[in-house]
Amino acid sequence: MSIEIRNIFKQFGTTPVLKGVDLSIADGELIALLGASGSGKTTLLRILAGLDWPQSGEVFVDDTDWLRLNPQERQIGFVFQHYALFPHMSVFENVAFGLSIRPRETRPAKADIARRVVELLDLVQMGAYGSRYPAQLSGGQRQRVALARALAIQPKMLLLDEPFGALDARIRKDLRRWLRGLHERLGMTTIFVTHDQEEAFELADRVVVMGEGVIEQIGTPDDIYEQPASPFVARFLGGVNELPAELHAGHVHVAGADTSRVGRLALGDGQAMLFVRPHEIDLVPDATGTAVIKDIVPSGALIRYEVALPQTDKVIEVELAREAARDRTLTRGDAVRVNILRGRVFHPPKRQPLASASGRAGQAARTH
Amino acid sequence: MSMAALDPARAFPQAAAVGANGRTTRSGQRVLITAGLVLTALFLVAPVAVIFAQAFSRGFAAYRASIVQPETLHAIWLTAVTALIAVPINMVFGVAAAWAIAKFRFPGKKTLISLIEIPFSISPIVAGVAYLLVYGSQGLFGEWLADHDIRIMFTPAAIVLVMLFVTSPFVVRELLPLMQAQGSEQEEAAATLGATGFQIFRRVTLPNIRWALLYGTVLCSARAIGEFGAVSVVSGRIRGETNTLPLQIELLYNDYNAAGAFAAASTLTVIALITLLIKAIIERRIGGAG
Repeated sequence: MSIEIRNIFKQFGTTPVLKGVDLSIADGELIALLGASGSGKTTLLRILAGLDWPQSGEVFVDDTDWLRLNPQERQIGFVFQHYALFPHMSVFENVAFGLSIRPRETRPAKADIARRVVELLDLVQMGAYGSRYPAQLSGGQRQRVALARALAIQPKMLLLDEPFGALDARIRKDLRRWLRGLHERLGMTTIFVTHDQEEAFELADRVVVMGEGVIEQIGTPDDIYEQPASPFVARFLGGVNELPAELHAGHVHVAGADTSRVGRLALGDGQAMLFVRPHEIDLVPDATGTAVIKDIVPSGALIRYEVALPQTDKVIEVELAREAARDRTLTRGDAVRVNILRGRVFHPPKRQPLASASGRAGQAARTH
Repeated sequence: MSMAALDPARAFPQAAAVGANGRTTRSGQRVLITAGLVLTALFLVAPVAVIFAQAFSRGFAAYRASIVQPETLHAIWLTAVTALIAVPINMVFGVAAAWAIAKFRFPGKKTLISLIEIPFSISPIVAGVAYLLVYGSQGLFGEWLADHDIRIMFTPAAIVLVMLFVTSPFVVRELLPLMQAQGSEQEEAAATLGATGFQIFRRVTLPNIRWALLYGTVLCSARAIGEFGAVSVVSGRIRGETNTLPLQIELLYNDYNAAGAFAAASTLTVIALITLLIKAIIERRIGGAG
């Protein structure tokens, strides 16, 4: 089902949570709504499900006026972060619920319902657990039952609210891969909400980055990572160095760093900010270098360096692969040359209002 | 390290003090427990025992005769009927109020919560007088009611009214915290699966609250049956007509019919004990389920 969301406004009391959201989703797409808490991503999902209603705006699904339908009529599958299984029903009864409550005329025969439930439990690899109760299952198992329950009514679209948020990191990774496979097999339009960029990038065809009730950027995971549309997006994706830079004749200059490899930019002269990710910087041991290594933190495959740039008291973060780090044999206090390989330029005057969002984005970055 | 160092009293002198302290604590516990038991015996067990001893003081035949005495029998019957009307109404009211408060946002929610608590803070006798002033012949609606030939005061209808008032908070109070803790996600999940409002209530909400509902109903029934103050004001205390069991007991007692009073009291006590038993069983079920 294709979805057309137009100019959605929603507020709770006097707090606006969605401030004019437009979004088109093609049939069969797997979409991630990515944002920090309070960005309105869950509210948008709940509006699609009919669990919340916007103050204004339109939603069309395959040309049906979606906001005229109540949740019962929408035939969607909704999966909650905390599963929302019915604790007094067995796994089998939970999955059968959507079919067994139908009015007599449209309700499948008991045997057909049973066959469908068994199929679904096999699909989510819970075939042996039909007679168990939710309290007897682990978190990952419960979430798979919740998914089977949502799929039982053959939904036209699948909506998942932080589906893996309450699970262990390892189980989350497994389930993520499994959900991707399931989507490829079933091919239904799927939208999931997450605050975890890794999850969004790994699963989704397209990622919708949301901040403070507006969509900041829509694009493929590569687009968003390589070409963040705004400082907000760049910051949200985490771990970015923000360097004051000088634009001159299409070249960008940063005090104390070599930017000759950044390439020419079609931008006018003036002050700007250069956003550089830690892995887009190289360090070259050089006794005449003006930058100094302040600290070295080995974290698995990557070695993280804190480097103080000269003149300014700016400390930047640099990540080198363990192999590259071994070749360079750097220790704390060494003088180095800082080579910036890539970066994105944002003009501070044009994007200044977004600076207010930086505190929150910074927090989000720290949590990842 | 020598073995002497392992002697806790020698190695840690303060530890010995703690041990002595522990002994005082233990004797303190013993005193408190004994006091508790004595008080329970004096103020709870003894009166209940006396009720039964007095009730049966003139033998079982006399006991039976006191119970089947028409006025007492009528009092039992009236109490049962009025409670059977009031309690189900308050169950419905309690579920509806708890549902509305727990699952929806609306203006005046806090006021509603306070309103529900009012019967707990008002003396039942005040409630009775208030009803009398509103529905009595000299009351607010007295003339209108008389014109339409409706009598409420001094009839079983008045008893039902005050029972409703006095026992209205019990079911809500049991359900509300539970329903607030459960949130609305299960109901929302059921709605997206196509369940109608009634199906959601019957198949999702009700099973989740059934033990708390039963518990609240038991408390509500016990209070309704035992209510004295409010009922005594509005019932008119007409012998054999509007006397409920508690009123009948007082009446018999004032008539110096101690055996009759205690026999009637014993039926009320048996009801209370049964209530207690059901309550204990439900509490265990709730504990087991939670």
